[in-house]
Amino acid sequence: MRNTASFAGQVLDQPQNILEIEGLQMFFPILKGFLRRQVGSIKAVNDVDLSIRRNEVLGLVGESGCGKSTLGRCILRLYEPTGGTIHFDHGGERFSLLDLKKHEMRKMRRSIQMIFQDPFSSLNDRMTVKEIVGEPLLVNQVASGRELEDRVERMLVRVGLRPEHMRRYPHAFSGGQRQRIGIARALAIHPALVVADESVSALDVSVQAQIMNLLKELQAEFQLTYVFISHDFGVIRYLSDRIAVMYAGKIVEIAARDELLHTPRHPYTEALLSAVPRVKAHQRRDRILLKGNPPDVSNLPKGCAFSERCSYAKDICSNQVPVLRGVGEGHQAACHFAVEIKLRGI
Amino acid sequence: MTKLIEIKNLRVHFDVDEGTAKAVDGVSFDIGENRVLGVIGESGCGKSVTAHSILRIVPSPPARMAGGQILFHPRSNGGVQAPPVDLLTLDPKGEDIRKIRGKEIGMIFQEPMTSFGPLHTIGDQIMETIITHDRTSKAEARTRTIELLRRVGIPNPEKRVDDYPHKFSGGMRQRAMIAMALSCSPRLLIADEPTTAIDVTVQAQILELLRELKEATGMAILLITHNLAVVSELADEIVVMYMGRVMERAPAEELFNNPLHPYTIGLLHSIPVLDGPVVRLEQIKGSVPSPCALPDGCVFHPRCDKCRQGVCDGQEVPELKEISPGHWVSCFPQPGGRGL
Repeated sequence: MRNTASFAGQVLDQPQNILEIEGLQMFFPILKGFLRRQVGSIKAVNDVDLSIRRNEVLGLVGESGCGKSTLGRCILRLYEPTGGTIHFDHGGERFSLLDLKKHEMRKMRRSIQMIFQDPFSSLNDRMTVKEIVGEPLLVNQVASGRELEDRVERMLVRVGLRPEHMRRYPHAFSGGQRQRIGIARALAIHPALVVADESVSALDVSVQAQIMNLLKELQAEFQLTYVFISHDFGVIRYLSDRIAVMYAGKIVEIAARDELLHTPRHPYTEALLSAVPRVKAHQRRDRILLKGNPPDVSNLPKGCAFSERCSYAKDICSNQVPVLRGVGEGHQAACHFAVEIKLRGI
Repeated sequence: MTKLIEIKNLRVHFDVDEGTAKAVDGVSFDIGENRVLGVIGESGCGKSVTAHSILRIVPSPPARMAGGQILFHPRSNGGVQAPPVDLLTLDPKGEDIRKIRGKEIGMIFQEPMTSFGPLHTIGDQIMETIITHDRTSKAEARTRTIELLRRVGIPNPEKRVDDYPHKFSGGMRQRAMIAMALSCSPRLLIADEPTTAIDVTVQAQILELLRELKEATGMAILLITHNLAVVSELADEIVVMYMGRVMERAPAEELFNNPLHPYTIGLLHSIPVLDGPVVRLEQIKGSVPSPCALPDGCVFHPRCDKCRQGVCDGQEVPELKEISPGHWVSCFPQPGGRGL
């Protein structure tokens, strides 16, 4: 199976969605006592439906514990989901990722790569940069010897490092340079889909800008599809074409970037946008201060998980779980009153 | 405005294997009573070392207080103003600095997780500060602790006072940390990245709480952060640091509307904001130098797009000069530039 998705001519006749997630569940068991009996479960990802379009950047935003990272990891099967399906369209074929055998999945990871958050713990300190970046090429038998070296060198130069860096070890690099190494490793094999989990969050703002610009350039150049996971709405806004907001294991709203930012339809999106600190004083408005605490995903309320903190909540909200439904052109929200209430965007 | 603390030409150097790292190299600023001063800068700019130097909690060795003064003005006693104390002359383990730490100057840290010991209840840890400094009875300290916890917005404080830190969420722990810092009504609160480790909706709550407490108690705040937006929410005045030096200092509004130093301008342009068109972010070229091998002249010149050969890279370090009232910049004058 050759990786053909990255050639421009073929993109047009491929299906629009590169990834289709349906009813995805990732429940972690809570074990207790001597017999390690299961006494409950942490519903980290709870019935998520999500389609990702080819060559788009889908921003996945939410606060800690909302399940955004778990969802990203499920796509690569770094966690084995406890329910649902994920279909990946690649090279003219449709694969059901959760049905693949281990070795088949390993092959599939040529086309689905991940960039991690922490540039300090995600690189093996005992490998040289050449080994780190070349490893995916080597294990997938894409290149070896002289060719491998050439490809690693080209990739390093492309991400803004120098060829002589090949023989150095990760500890000799700064945080920003390490993140560049992680990006080179993920992209060396020409994947079609890249899951980037908080990939710029640990970086200083001047370095963060450099890495964000780089990610954006590479996306255009290699015709990549990104699932970009972040807690930072500013970062999400700069990179994404569409934005999905997660809360308590569910997607509560999804829409095109500007649509979501200017006309949010879910009260949680409104509150989250309002909480983002702004640089200029005149942009600061009356802030919505959420009451209560983030949800406990092992003990969710009966109705809408956000209902206890929501200032628009009515009786129905604490009894019935709202479904994610269409509220406008390409715009879905999981709120009983998504259409009735007027919310404030940015 | 009455000055509360004045930092004058502070130098803190670290002796490490590679040589001498000048973490703080000639920093000066002051904070008035009931004012909020924000110090911003990226990792390694010396902002935390500056703050820790005030409380004398920089580990020494490897650190060396290489020069300068930190003048702290004590409370006036019946209208008589005592002369200021130079905190740098105090023994970091001595009785004098301990009377100031916690009592006159409170501090909250970035990591509320590691700032509380896991083996004692939240209440015991706050009460300890009160009993140490104010020599109160245990019962009174407990009443005050409950009141403090209520004040910082912890629900059901009569019960939560006996909880261990692991039972508190990140935001709650940060609130408890603030309660502890406020326990002896300090006149200066040092907040070192107080919202960095917490979620944005909780961050908004904590910033609001700090604002309220500042109004209610009249204390001053030294806010250390890398987040320009956070600092703009709270600060009256802002100091921008880079590689141990002050690049620019101005009232908050002025700094954001009329930044003058190329580093400040670069920083402001590299933040992905929620407003305006989505265009390519302007980035500052290159990366930070090693603190042991700082460039000659202006420490920012290798990364500066306004750098002039023969001026900025010479032997002379640009002075921090007052350009307009309250607006200080450390940059060589540009020919025909914006009045630098």
